[in-house]
Amino acid sequence: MSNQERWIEANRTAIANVPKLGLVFLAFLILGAIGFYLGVGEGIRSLQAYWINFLFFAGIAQGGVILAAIHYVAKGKWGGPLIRIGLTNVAFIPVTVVLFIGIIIVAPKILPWVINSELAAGKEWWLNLDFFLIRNLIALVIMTIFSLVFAYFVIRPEAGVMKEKMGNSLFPGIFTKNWQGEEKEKERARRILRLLTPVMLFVYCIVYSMIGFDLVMSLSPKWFSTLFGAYFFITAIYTGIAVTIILSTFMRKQLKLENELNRDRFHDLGKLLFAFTILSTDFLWSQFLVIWYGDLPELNFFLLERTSYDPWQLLSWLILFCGFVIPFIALLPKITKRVPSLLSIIALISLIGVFLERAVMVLRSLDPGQGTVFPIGIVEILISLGFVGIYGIVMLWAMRRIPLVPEDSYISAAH
Amino acid sequence: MNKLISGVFPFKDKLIEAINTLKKEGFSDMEVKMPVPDHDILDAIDHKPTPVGWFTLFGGIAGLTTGFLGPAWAHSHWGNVIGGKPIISLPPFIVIMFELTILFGALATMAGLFLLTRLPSHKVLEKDEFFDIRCTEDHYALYVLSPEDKISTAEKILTMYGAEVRK
Repeated sequence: MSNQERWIEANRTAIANVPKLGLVFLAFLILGAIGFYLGVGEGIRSLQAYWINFLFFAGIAQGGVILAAIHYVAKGKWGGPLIRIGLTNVAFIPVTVVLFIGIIIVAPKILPWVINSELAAGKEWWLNLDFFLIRNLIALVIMTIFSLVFAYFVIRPEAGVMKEKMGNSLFPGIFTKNWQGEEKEKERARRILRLLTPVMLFVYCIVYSMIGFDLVMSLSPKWFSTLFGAYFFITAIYTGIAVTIILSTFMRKQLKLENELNRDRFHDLGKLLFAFTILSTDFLWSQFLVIWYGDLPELNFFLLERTSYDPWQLLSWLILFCGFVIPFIALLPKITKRVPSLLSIIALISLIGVFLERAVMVLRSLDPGQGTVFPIGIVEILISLGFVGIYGIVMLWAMRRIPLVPEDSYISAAH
Repeated sequence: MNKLISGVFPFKDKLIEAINTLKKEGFSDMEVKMPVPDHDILDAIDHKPTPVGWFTLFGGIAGLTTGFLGPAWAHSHWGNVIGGKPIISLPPFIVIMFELTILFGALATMAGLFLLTRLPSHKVLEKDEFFDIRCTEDHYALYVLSPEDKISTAEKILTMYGAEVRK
């Protein structure tokens, strides 16, 4: 068999073997709905859990696609199916726009500067509800369009080549509509992506900075940190990488991709996870140190209320340990990066770290004055499971519809 | 009595094939001289990790400690309260601890490398009768330690994969 035939065969078996776990994830979704119902009686508890999970999962999905875009811009060949699994996240991005409808409904009930307009005094031109919702919705739609076009032109040439070779297509017809032959299509895709991808990365930084400022920082309207936006989009890529590792580890045996998802590839992505562990903590630290040193009353309350009293103090230490200390030490030796199951355990720990970070940032801002009750309970966990359910359903749906093994990486993995 | 035999390869893939064939024939004591470190080759000869990493570790720990003790010493001598903070407080020291960890770690790695390879001296290379200057540019030399009765097998395998053999 030629390399190309083996590549097509690998894709065919991968798609045929995508696990049918739709019902499991549907059960998760139902659990999420139950959790939401349980929390409705307790003020804004369900709403803020929804808020956190929206931020977390939108970040994961966009982060996975951005990982693929960075890989493309850098002309990377090392990722192979790992990066394709990252790219699969593109299917969840339109869903985040739909989930934003929830945010539109929730926002007037929880945004402190909407409830008490004095908090936004002097900043009304930016912090007013209509502008807030419109700009974030538009930003998400822009990112959705960018991501979809990016994914489309990455997939299209491969889907077309496979259709040419096999006669019938493995993938939805939209990928091979108006097919003009391999040479021409590849050239066209290259031409479009060469311009689109760098612009997309740039727009991503702006859009996710703004979402960080608006959906997290504005919950505590008196507080500000210039680096917060950058911190937000870096941690989003961090979670995207972590989820890509976990999904790839699960899918490795299922999709019969042991040869393609080999240890060398996990080693490389593990190094990237390690780098992002350090980078995101660096950004967190840079903000912390300045506030700690300056000790200005308009800034330090934000840290004090999160680091000086239990239960928030405990959660802050957990964030530091799960998001940095444990992954940092665990990823130092080579073996943890080369064994997929170990690597995905570490990735899961760092995901928990980032999730807790989102939770602490959002939840503490929303209940000023109380802050004595442990903020994460059954409601929050169930709603998070609900989001895992939606995410899982969408990802499984998408995995059957894109080529999971890229052409170029298959050739380089063939020796 | 073991004897040393060497083969110089112009290509990496042939070298790796030769190593694998030699391993199948029961040769285990091999060494490669190469112009740049290469993981494929290191994996092929079942390379054991070098002890240089330990130098890095201890250098890093030394840097971390110095990065704390240095500023702590300076602060306790100066005794100037800044912004109401304790005189010896961790957050501002972390930057220095981090930098010195990296600096000392890197320097210790250098030192370890020089120590273990006896670098400024050329004696190791001068003693090496098979040393080929091309291995510092674009060739790979494979050294095989083989029992005297199997030396012809080793030679045959090396020639088969296009190496220039010396023994």
